[in-house]
Amino acid sequence: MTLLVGASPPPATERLTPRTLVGVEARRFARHPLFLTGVALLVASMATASDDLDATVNEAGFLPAVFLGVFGTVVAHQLVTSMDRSADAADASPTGRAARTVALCTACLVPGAVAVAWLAWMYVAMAVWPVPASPAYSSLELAAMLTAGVVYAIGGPLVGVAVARWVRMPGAGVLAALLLVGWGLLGTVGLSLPPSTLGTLARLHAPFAAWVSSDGPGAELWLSGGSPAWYLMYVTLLCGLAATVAELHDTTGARRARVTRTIVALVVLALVSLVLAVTDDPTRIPL
Amino acid sequence: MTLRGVDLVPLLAGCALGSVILAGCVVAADDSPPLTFVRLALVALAAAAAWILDDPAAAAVDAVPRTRLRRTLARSVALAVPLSVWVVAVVALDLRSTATPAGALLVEGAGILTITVALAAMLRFAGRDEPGDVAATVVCAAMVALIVFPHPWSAHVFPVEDGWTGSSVLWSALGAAAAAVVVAASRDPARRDRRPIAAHREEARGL
Amino acid sequence: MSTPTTISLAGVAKRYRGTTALDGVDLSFGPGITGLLGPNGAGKTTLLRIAATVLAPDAGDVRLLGRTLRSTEALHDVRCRLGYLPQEMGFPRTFTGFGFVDYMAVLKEWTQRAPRHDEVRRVLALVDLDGLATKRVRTLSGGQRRRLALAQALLGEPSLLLLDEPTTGVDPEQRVALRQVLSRAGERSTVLLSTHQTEDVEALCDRVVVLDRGRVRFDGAVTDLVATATGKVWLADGPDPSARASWRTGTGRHRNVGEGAPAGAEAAEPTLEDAYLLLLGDRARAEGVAA
Repeated sequence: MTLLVGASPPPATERLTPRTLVGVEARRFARHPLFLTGVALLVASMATASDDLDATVNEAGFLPAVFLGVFGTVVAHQLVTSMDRSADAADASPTGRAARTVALCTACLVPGAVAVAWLAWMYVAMAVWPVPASPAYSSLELAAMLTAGVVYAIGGPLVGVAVARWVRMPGAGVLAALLLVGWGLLGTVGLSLPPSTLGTLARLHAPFAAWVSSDGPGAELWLSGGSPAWYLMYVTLLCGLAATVAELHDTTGARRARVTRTIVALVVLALVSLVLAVTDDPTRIPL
Repeated sequence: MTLRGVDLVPLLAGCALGSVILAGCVVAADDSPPLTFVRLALVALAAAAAWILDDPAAAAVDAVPRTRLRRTLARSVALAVPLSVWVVAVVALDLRSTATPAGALLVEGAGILTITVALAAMLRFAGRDEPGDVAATVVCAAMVALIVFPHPWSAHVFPVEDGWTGSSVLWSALGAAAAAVVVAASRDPARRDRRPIAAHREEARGL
Repeated sequence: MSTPTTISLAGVAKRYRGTTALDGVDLSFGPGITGLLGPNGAGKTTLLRIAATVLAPDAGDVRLLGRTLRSTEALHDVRCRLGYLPQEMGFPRTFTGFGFVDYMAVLKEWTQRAPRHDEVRRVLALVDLDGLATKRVRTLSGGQRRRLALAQALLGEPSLLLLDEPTTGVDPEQRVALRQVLSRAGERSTVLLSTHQTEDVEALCDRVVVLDRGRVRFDGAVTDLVATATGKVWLADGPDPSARASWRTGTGRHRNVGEGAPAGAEAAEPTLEDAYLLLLGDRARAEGVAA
């Protein structure tokens, strides 16, 4: 009887395996029913948005924030926890858990890609059904407000990955998504405060910011204070923070020290960005 | 006694989150209640209710004398926790703001919680021993989508200014249907009746 | 005097989306221990689940303890006298060992607290988990959890005990202890034991049923099945190409199992495993039993 002894496993290059893993996780994300539902709802809302494009522009990324970001929090959480039952087998593989976390975080670009498509659609729609230019914000500020929708779409899923790594509790993903929504809605309370730095801080600390509001139904719309560009930087840094916190869970030794330093740096930079966003002119500008 | 099998962690976590949001709503309520926040809290309570029927030991539990229906009804007692949170909050809102449609909100909350349990029961019937995750995801995503989606008919489901009578009728009907689904989906999986009537008569005569 | 029938299956069939799990099975069981053997997908677990009243067959007649399962009353009565250990079983996250078995006892309608706790302690002692009763289930090893799952099945000294792979993950010493428990149970109850461990069947069972693709391939005494391998098992210095199964043993010699031993071959005492391999032939080989 022939016995195979010491057969070598197929070689795997360092660059090939993570890319392959990212592809696998990205496909899992793209096929998740909740993600597909979110995309369908976003597309449906885009189809009806042309009737009131002005309002959609003013909402500045609200729809991708909910349908891609919030839904994506649960999707990402479920992708991570779906491997729990075979965790022992997965952890015994050459690809460490930290690498798998990085792959999962990278897969969160899938909803980001859909949000980029949404952003492109917004600009096409604005060209086809021109929205009257407002003196309240420049094209750069408008771009920042709309681009935030892409960041929301990526940030929600990253929070889902981080929560799945750190919190071992049934329903953690759903509750995390609700917390994000609650935190975002809490930020809208800042719109009802008088225009001030404090009011702007109350609004912009949240992971979602509404920029346009009014004093009542039928009243004139105004753009609230603060810097959309620096706010965009702030939420982008929050995304980086979520990804790094997720990675921290499974790193050890020197790498853990590096990841910890990265987290500290991101927190500092995020706070700086928030301060810069908030200390911009708080005056409300009529649209 | 079957209540012991209910996983308290997601139940209490969801109720805690809902309670915090509702407490904020009560404090912030002025002329009218902040309905968006109130409904967000209801989403959290629905998420809490979704795990009531989870049973990791279902493979063995299904062989006990207590029928699945009795066990489901016993576990449904845990629904009293999120329901109590909701009732207390709506009453408090009503005291703070006279414009609160208290009755309609109570019906809405009861309807949604019952629908959540019904969905979990259906998933359980389909063979999923721990349906909480899926049930919570579906119910919460549907609620968030309906609250957010800019479509006219979502206002019939979650009205903001008017349409409360219609929504109450809708949620009452849905809640009643959901309760019936809970009972139907809690049918014992071993029951099946395909023997001819004569065989039943033989058995009745002790043959 | 005939043995009373505890389990009666007549023409029982079950299909899962195009796959036939049980194909018109006719079996009866009475007091004693019967082993269920068969390759993966043979229908053992399906049969046990039907007998445990957690799964309804698509066709056929099931009688347990003399009752059909048409009425809620009958179902209730049967389940009061039934103990079932599923093949795979989860545990509620926060329970201790004692708490879990106590919970199952409540579900089995042990309403009085004191006798219930006594019974829980009794079954935990039977499976040698009394010292670990206050530990959380998630801190127990796989074998300890398996014993805990068996403990809940033993509650109330059931008349009908259905065990699906009870010794999986259990260490040899504990396995012997469990054999003692099960052999005592078999003196007064009907025990159906589904397992891949043929030595457990040889040690415990008077009777063995071999299932394959939803059908009964053998139903009879363990000794009768073993006897079918007499003269068909031999030892050699190397593998015999004509053997149906052949593997190198720890002594360095090859054990060969086949239809005809070569002339002059050193005969070996057949085991139940040898007879099983001969019975299921190429199918067993495909399942990876042979080297």
